[in-house]
Amino acid sequence: MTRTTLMHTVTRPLAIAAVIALAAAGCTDNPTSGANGAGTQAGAGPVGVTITDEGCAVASTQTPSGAVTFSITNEGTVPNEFEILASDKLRIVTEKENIGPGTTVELTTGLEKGDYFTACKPNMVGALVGVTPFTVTQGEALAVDEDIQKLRDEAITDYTAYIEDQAGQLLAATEDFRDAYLAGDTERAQDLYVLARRHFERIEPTAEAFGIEEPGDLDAALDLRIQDLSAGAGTAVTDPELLARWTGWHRIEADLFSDDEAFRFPDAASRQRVADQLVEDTQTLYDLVTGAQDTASGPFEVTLEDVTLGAGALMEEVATGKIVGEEETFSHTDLDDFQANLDGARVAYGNVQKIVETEDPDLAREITDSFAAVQEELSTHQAGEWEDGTPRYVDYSTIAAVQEDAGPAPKDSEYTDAQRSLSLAVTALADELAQVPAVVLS
Amino acid sequence: MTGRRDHREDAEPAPAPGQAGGGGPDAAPRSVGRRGLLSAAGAGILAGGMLGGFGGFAGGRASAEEPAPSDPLDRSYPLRGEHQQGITTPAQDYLFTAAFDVTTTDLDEVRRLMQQWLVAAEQMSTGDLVGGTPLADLQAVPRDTGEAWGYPASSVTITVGAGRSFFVDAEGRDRFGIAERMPEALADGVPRFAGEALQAERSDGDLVIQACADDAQVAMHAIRNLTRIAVGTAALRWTQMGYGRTSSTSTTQETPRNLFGYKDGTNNLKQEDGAEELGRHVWIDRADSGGERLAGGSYMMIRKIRMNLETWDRLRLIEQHEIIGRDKRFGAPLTVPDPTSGEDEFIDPDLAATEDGSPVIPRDAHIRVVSPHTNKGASMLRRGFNYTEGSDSLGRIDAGLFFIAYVRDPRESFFPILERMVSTDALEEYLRHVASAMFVVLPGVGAKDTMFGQALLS
Repeated sequence: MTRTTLMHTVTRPLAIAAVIALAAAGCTDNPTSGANGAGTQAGAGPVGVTITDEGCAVASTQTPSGAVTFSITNEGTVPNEFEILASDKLRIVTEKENIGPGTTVELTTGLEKGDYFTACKPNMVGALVGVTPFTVTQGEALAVDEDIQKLRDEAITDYTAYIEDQAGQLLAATEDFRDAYLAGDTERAQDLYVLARRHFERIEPTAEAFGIEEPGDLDAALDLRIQDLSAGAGTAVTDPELLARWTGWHRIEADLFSDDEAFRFPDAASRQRVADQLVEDTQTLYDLVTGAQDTASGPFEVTLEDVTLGAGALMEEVATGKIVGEEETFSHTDLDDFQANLDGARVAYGNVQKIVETEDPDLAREITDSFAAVQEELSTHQAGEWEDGTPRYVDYSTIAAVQEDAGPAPKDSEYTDAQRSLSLAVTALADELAQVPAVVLS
Repeated sequence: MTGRRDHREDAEPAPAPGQAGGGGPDAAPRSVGRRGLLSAAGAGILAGGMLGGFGGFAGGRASAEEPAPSDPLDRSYPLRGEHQQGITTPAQDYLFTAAFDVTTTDLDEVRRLMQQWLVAAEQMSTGDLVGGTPLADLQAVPRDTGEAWGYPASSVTITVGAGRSFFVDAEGRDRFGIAERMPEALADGVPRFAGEALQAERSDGDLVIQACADDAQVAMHAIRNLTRIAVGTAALRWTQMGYGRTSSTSTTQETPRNLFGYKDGTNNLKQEDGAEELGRHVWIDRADSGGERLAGGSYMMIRKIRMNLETWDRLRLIEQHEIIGRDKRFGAPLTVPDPTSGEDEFIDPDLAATEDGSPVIPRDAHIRVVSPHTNKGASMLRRGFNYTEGSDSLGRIDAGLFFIAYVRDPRESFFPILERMVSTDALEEYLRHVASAMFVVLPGVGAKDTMFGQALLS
């Protein structure tokens, strides 16, 4: 909620601002081409900067606003850093670190009209050297970048449509699932369990936020795990009273997949009741997404922030829940969820990908590579295909240390190499996706 | 500029309320904020980087006119020099070591990691945050994790090394096209020793970072941020926290006690031993195997040694004395008949002394077994730390010694001494070696270098 509020107050349409933030947000290896193609008005030619161990000479102390390129030569004997500071000399607007002695590098950044300072910092530490006022005058009118704004609008429209589509497919598949399940067709129901849940897993961060009375209550009704319920109640996971309060996908999963009699429904009526409620709650989710019904905080609306954070959030789902196998503790279909989370992340990121490619091509390349790496890692555990041609995965408990029937969690030392490989690939991707908001939202 | 960037609290690294006074209950008051420390440092750091090759007190903000701060929390050591920090630097109170598996197959990515690690390590060495002044972009993930914001440098040192598996994989295949640069000592590997119960997942590794500091949180901050930087290129393999340094590397320090209650490491090599002595025992020479790219480096030998504290605590004092070869109270060798002060600790043990025909310092006493006199003069620079990791399932404290030694060639010094120790040292009965690792510590970072291991990786 807070994040959404924040989003509304800070959204700024100026592409130039995104360019500045982008350049400033780089880690130790700032992108030098951040403004390329961003549609900003090019400034004058490159501003020469000559670094020595004692000095930091800028060839011109004035330039028109827009994309400004600095050509920085380090004539000193130690690696150095070039910084552009705001008028308070404290805030770094952008910087280029680790410029080796004898090398020349370029730094391109978007600068608005205003007073700045340039400075150097030998070895990237200690006091600033050669602090010099630098003035950016009004250049040609800075056109609001219509392309970027258009991309942002499209991202929201497309992602909203995607969520509606998945919610619709989820509803239809859930009805099929209920029918097979109540008809006693166990094998079909077990397959449909995976196939239906994929649609939920693809939009999980959005679905999790939903509630009619309060945010999240619908998610609890649909997707609560018995481990969490029992931890809250302080009772065993097989406690009959606890089980009677439990609804949603995982309640049925326990009945459908576990060998433990304790997880069976006590009678046909309670089985029917939970299955029907699953469909009913899914219908509500669909109604909320499509606007037929209001959420606890008003009509459902996707923000650019939702799109931007969605991809990262989905990968965090994988990193925290799927890798350790606690999500599907009875069915061990975690890898199918994993694939669905990955699909969802790819779509969410795909909606802002063009913005990232425009503003930070290096990051965009890294993310594309990392998506491929996670998919490749996942593919090593494929076991055939579903009827729609999508990959089907092995039982997770055959390759991973997992929690069985909501029992004891594996010890930290028990996780397998397969889990470690998956985890490393996901972490690398999540780390890169975490940089997307700064590029897209700033 | 945008309004959001104008938040002073985002841009100004002032300590959070209540934080300036220190991070731990036992910490001395800290009035020096990071930024204050930095501006005072200025050029002193640069000069220190070139002059203070031995990483002594003369680093950081100290200059010729300005003596080293007496409070270790205010000390900082230059990252650049002939040798890396954290070896002869006076041993700090806390250690955090992490070993990494490199996950990329691209040498350029490894180089980029070494560049990024260097920049961050140099910044943290001065007490600065990673990335310097925090950027104020609310939409960006902060570059520094922030838990050392407002803390002084606290003598932090960061030391980087590479293991055998950095050069070749388990099948001996060249990983990055630099296998021929691997020194022989790494190629030979660590021999097996008696009494080992080594845990593979807690041993070895492609890369290592040793972070030491006089504040545990500052050491943790260093490892945490360097680990973050490595995501996608290298992954944590194991980590080790240590406290209560178990040796001193400078004559300015007292000999600390190990968890058996004894002063151990009295005869350690120290920075004051001088370049010649340290060159003989600690630093890789140009003429040594791999020396053309690794001269100035060292071998970091790690043994994680679980100590059976409960069993030891049931020994009579005389038995404890005879196993160690020293008196428990003052640390004097048993050949000092009636020790009365801490000075007695430094009296050379008379290994030949006998009483009633038996050696005063027993044949299997720890100090005799590891003494240079009984090891052809071989010596090592020890830099161990105690560790405690909760308790085991039998209700025993899981604790011991995280032993680190720096040597010029482990085949000449470390392995022979360890072999003697595991086969003849009475102390071994109370120890279990649970992890082992060997790394070549890269040479010092030169004034012009832009990455750790510049000579090795260029």
